[in-house]
Amino acid sequence: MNRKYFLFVAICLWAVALVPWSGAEPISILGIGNPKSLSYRIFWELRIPRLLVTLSLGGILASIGSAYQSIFRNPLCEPYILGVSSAVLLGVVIAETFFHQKVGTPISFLFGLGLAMVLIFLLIVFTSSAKASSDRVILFGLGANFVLSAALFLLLSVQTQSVGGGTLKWFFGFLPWLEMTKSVLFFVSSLLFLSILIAFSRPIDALRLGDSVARTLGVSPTISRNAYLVFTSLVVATTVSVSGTIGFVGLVIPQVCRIVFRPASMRLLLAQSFFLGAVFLSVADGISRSILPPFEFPVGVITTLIGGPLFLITLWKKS
Amino acid sequence: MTAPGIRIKDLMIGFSRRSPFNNRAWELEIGKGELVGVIGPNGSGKTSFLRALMGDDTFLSGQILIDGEIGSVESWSSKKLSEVFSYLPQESSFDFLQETEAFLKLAFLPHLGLFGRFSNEEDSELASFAREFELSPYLKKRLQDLSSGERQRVFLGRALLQPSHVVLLDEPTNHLDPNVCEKTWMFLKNKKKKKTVLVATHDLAQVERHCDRVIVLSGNELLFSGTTTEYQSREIKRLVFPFIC
Repeated sequence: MNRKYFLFVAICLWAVALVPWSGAEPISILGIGNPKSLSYRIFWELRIPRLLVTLSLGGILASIGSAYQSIFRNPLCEPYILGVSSAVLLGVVIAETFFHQKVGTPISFLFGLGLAMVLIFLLIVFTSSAKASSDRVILFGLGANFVLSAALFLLLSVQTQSVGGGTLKWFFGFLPWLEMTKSVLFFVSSLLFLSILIAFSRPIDALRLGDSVARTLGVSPTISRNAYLVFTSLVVATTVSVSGTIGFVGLVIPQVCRIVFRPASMRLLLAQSFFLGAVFLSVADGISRSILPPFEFPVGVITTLIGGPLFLITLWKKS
Repeated sequence: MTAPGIRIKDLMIGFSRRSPFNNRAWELEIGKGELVGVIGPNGSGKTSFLRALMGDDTFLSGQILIDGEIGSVESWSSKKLSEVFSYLPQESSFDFLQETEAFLKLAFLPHLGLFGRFSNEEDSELASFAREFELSPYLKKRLQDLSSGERQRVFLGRALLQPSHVVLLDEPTNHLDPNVCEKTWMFLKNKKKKKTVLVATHDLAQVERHCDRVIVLSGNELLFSGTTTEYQSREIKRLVFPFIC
């Protein structure tokens, strides 16, 4: 065992030692000892400093990840997933947009740190209750990440003086203008889709109890799960290709339905989610068209900025 | 159909045919309507056995004949499986937000009509079962608002309520207080519909007091299967639990 460990470390060091030699400009081993050569400058002024930075960043990211995972008892935790990194990013962009502070200046750092602290404070509030499960940390991170990136998107729109144009709109979703016949067709097919989901929803109720129990409830777990997944993915593909990714409707609406309506079955949950999701998105669209007419904010930014905090509040109230 | 007897022939358990858990194939019989205690040390194969019995992932090969004529479980349709078996796992997965009543209703899932409606009989059966099993106060509560013991009773209740002929219970009295534990055993013993019930448990005293048959496992091998009287007279438990006996 010890020998294997030694060998492994040796291979790692060897791999790292190779890194400075890779790059666009080939450098010679002899040259790095000669202060007058180009190789010397590339090696000592560019590649070695770069290597030191990457070594420290990689090390820090991994060790912080392991600390987070132990603190929150969840293998999925790390600063990016919990939204801490997004908070820093937003702080830095705020400093840049409103105070013209370049990345790397102390003010910019302080803004990043400040927002990260706000997020950490919220995280502490969230996870302080005795009932807080380690899953909630991830849900919190998901919510925070969405909201922060929506805010980031708005800021960048301000910075570049254009609202979600071009390909950017795909990231936050937009609603297409369809003609009457097509939209009727779209509406009818969505209802059809809902009824198919409902018709085959019974196995999903059983799957919640685990695969073994599901079998004794007359369900074939693999078949029903895979069939459901494939079918829903087809529909996801259709919607995203029409509207881009509209965040948060899928995350927040089912949670709110479950907490508020207490559906007794998957069937009811599906129907309630459809209804509430439809209402939510229409209202969000109304808002997105009336903030700065004739501009249309991407509807996903609105759903996220409303849905995100709502989601975090329901999550918090749950305990 | 009355509660079936179970005949097990050449049963091999495990996850891969190349390295099965047991060296010797298991042969045993369980009579109709018996209450069977499955005992053995940690890791002796109790859970694997129960899962193999219903043709789940630990079933490798062999024949499991329920009432002789029905055929071997691994060839059954999922519908047929659901009519014969109900299963309480050791650790139940569940939806924290679900209400107890909705959870218990899952017991009738295989028998629901086209639109998923519960019949009046099922509703009244659930209500009377809840009274009998003392679950009525929890019906409108969410599972997350119950204590571990209360929840375990709900899980157990779901398995017992399911209209099946063979009930497989994996450590059903976990988290239960001594009173409820005793009541549960009495309930299993006096079960009305003469279901065949297999209970994997560490509750040796209760097994001796209530069970008709005892199956003893050790190191994934079948050590003993026989009536409780035989089990007691041959002092089997000394072999398996020498430290306490």
